[in-house]
Amino acid sequence: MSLSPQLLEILVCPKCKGQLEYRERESALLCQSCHLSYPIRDDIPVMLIDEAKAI
Amino acid sequence: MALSLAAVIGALAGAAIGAVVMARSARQCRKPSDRAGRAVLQRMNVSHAELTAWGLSHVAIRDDFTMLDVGCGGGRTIDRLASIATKGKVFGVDYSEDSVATARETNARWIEQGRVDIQLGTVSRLPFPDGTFDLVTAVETHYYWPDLPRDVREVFRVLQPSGTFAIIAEAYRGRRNDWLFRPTMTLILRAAYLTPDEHRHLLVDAGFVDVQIFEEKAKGWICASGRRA
Repeated sequence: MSLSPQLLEILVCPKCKGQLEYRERESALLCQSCHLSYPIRDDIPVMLIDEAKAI
Repeated sequence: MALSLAAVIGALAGAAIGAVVMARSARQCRKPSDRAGRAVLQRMNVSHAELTAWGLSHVAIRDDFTMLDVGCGGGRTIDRLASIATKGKVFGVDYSEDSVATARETNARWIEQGRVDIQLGTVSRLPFPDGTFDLVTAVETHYYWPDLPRDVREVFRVLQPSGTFAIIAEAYRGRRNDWLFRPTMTLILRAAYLTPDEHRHLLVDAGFVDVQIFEEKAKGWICASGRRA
């Protein structure tokens, strides 16, 4: 299952509140300005800065 | 003498074990994890239902509202909000993975219909744009927030102009049987244990207007609400 377009439209980076880029293959949401990758685990976006990976 | 000493030690040990058990279960309420946490979440879902219904009766909810439940726990408040706002949309965040998983199970049919979405997140940094929600609810959660005054301002940020924030809780300073709650809240959980007036100031200081405090004194419940100007 992939994330709903409605959800993707509303979610922003919790750090800068900027737009996120959905990478379905990597199961992640990317913030290009903070250089952070938020993982999606079991279809659940993990919107925590502590859990994000630097990119 | 020996007997009475044994009795004293026995009593002390009993009290220590009791305190540890109480502290553990109190911490599970704060951030439920593992199997014990799942059991706590199920109990929280049942015990909070009446409180939530009472709290939400003080809030006007239109059927097309976009709402957020912060610290959604087992997800019963989300379910109730989705049932009330039949054309609306409900988002939920919690910082416990177990809470999010349980809340998603509780709301599986709404999620399938695209009416509910639940993410892992923290109130201190909500993953939503400014001015998104008509209503934000916080049921039995605000006392655990990392930086309450700042976190209330973060809720303010995601509310639409004239959007409402409602804090619903069953532990506050000065409530019925306050003496039972105070030690656990202040010493074990180090939670924000506020009076009704402190709740009012919390909302006013964050910029809310039309701040209202409701108490159900017989039950020891409080609902503090405010509107974003």
